[in-house]
Amino acid sequence: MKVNNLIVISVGQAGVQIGASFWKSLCREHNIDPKTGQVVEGKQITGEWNAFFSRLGDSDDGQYVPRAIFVDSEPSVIDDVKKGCSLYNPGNFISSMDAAGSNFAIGYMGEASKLAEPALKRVEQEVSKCDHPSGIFIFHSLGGGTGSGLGAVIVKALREKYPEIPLMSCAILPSPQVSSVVTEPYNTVFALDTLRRYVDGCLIFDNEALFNLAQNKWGIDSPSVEDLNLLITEMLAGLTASMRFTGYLTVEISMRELVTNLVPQPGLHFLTTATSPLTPPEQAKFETPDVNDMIEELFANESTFAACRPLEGKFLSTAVLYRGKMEDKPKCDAKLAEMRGKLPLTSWIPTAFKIGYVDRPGVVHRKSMVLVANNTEIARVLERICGNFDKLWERKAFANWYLSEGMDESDISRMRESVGELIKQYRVAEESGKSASGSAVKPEPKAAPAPAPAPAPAPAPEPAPAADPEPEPEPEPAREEPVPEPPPTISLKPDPRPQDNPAPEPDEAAGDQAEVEGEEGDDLVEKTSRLRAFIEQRKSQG
Amino acid sequence: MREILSIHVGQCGNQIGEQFWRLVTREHGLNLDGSPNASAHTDRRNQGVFFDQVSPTKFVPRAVLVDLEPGVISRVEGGDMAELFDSGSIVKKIPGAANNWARGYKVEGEKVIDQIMNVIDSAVEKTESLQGFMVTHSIGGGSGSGLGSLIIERLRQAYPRKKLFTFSVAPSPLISDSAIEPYNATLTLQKLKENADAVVLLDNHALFKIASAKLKRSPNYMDLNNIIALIMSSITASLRFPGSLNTDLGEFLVNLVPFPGNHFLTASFAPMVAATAEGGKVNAAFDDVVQETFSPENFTAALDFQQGVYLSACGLFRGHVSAKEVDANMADIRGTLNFASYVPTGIKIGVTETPPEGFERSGLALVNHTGIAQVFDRLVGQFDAMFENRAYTHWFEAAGVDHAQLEAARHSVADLAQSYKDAA
Repeated sequence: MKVNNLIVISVGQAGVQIGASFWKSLCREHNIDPKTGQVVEGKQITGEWNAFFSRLGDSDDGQYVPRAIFVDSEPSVIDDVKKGCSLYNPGNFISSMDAAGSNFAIGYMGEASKLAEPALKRVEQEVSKCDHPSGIFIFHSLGGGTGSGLGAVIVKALREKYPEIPLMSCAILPSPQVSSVVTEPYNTVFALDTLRRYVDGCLIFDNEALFNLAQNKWGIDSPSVEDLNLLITEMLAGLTASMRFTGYLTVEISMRELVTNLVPQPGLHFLTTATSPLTPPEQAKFETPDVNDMIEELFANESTFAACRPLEGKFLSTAVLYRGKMEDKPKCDAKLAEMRGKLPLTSWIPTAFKIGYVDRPGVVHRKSMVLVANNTEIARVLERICGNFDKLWERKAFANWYLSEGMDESDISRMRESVGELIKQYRVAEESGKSASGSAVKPEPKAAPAPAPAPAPAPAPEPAPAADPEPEPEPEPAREEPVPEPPPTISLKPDPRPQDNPAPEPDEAAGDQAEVEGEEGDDLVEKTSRLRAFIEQRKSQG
Repeated sequence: MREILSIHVGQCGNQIGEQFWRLVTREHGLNLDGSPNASAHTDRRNQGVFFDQVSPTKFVPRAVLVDLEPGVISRVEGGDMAELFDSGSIVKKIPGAANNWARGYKVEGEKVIDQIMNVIDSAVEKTESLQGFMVTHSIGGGSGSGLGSLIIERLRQAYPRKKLFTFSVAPSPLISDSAIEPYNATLTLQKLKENADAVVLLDNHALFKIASAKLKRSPNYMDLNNIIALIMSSITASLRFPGSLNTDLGEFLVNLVPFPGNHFLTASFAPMVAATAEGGKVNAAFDDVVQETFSPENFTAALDFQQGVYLSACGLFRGHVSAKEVDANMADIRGTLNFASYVPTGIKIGVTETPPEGFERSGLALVNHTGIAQVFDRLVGQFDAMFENRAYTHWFEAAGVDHAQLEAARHSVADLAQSYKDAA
């Protein structure tokens, strides 16, 4: 019997949806009916259910209850999860009517932040039911208001209250090509600042990358939110398999063990993921992929769940988690040893491979693998978001929504800088860990041009910008088709902030994905493409 | 009776332990529940070395099983060996060391070490004249390395005059178990250098190569652990069974360790063939057994025998072997091994009449070779690459192991490597 227990907190719409999908997968793997929490008729409960579930009553036929908490600032999605299902503890659903309106500030310090307190109460209750709380997952998206703002409050409070419990965020980042929310860059940067400082690990997902996977690998013309969430939850099921099953060669890789292996320095904990095989679920049982192919696929750029190309950066550290028939272990070890010779690794971490085996397949595939990687390309993703942030912030566009909720400009600048430092830390980490470390202070090898005594927030004309419906340059609605790989590094505006590469300063129009629309502040949703329609779907699911 | 207490720490240590006790119970004609197997014709005179007889029909292994994560132990408890071990000698504690030596040694280790030492003390109390301890663990992970180090340190304090033998699975050059293995291994090696009397280094990759070459099929981990179990059982065979040339742990040490601290050994078992065929016995000619026993590719640590010299070697043969045969063969072998110039004498030999289960005769070599410095150098190189860049050090700091302690361990292991090179 395993005694490590994990708790999952889903915050905001996307978080709640992923949560619902995740628990469905877990129920299936343990033979629990996802509607009632009872053991499925004619089956036995399997595995170490108590990792993620508590039980009502002492016998095996009691009801199994997810250690799950759902929080959202508006009720519709949560209601949808609740509907016709007695799996969850109803007390662990927390919602209000004060939608955070795509605004970090409302989730962080405004009305919606009040949900943090009841949410933490429920966490406390769940923790008290654990023998040994060994990790808390937070599912959220960073582009909106609730997942980012309220998510940040909750993360911070959890860290203060439970300094010993590892926290892992599963965060959906805005996609490069599509955005449903103009204020996305703000929300994301603010949330990233919190995630950088308070969580132990952060798994990065990207809707667009997932969308492409569902389309190209699963062959679904227009993937739905459910399809994408299925990709995420299959990954998460693989990631947590060793926490939920035991076996002779199964070594539990606890959340702490995972981050211990993956995070070489404080703050460098933004992780990309991938799974293999990516055969369509309904086809999976007819096909037995070869481990060698699986491993190749796992490390391919196209398999990554985030919008970056890991093979173009450096792998700081990787964990490969295999589940399925154990006879493949030696072959798998050999192939991974070979991979290790081929991948771009940093010089300063010579043994950056963690390998885990679980002799218990998932429900879909007979064998499957999950890759969790700490790759420096994640800096590109962050740079892209910061670039968009800077464009907005330079003109203080939409800033008033945040300022009027009580954030002040120096806070905002500090948060932006914090993410800038993170990017720099990743850039430095490509070659060495020197100076990137928190303790050793910065004799930067790649000297930043100006130490910037005080990043005077630009000659911002009026510090109290109004709703600012000033028409932005408005690049033509970049049809996202052709540009195979739009230069993801949006160069920064000549900005007082020290940045590594102010070099390639193409005309903004080229790589511009900011999609800053000169629309009225509250009409933030754009509809220009299929993808966008998809995001719409996520928004309106429920 | 000169008893030996086995202590199995961590996942790897317990997997080896499981395989080891399977083998040893068979060698002593016991069933897996500890009852004597009526059909076995075994000399039970020295059975007390490894087993405590609690009743006429029940023998209990002198073993302590320790793991932070209960996985493997649970399997032992729930499997066909459920009745074998004394449940009081099993210590399993939950949170796990998360691959981090510092958590195993400090954070989690401190919580359980007193309990573990109590269990060990009471196991020792059941002996008449304890000869020493055999510890199995891995040095790259968290529990076996960190908690293992703590146990070894405490054993040395509590029993300064008892022999302390460890069977330590070292990181393999090819594939690693965790990113912070170099730190874990370095910190553990320092403790092993300071506290153990002898360390038999084992390397999964070397074991894997041996097994693949000899078994003619893809080996699994049972095979690898079985090799280790055969080595452990052979080292102790002459204590447990009658023979013409008996050796005990102390005698081995005197012959194997020329300088204090240079006690890192590598081992070889022959004949390395699939010991399967129900009832059948592997019957290899003694000449071949001797050759294989001392052939470089049959050793369990990843070192190059071309680089460096032998400081010492022991051969232990089991089965019906005449003294004459042994002498003739060993004279040959002695001539082929490149000994340090200042070691004029021969190879220490032991012979035990009882062969291992499934074999007519077998050979074991324990060797102290200066090439082992490569293993340490490799680790120190990996350590440096990481440490200079402060990779992963924050996890150690957070668990109470600061930079100075890491550096001290690194220097200790580098010195060890140097001392081996100087000895060459």
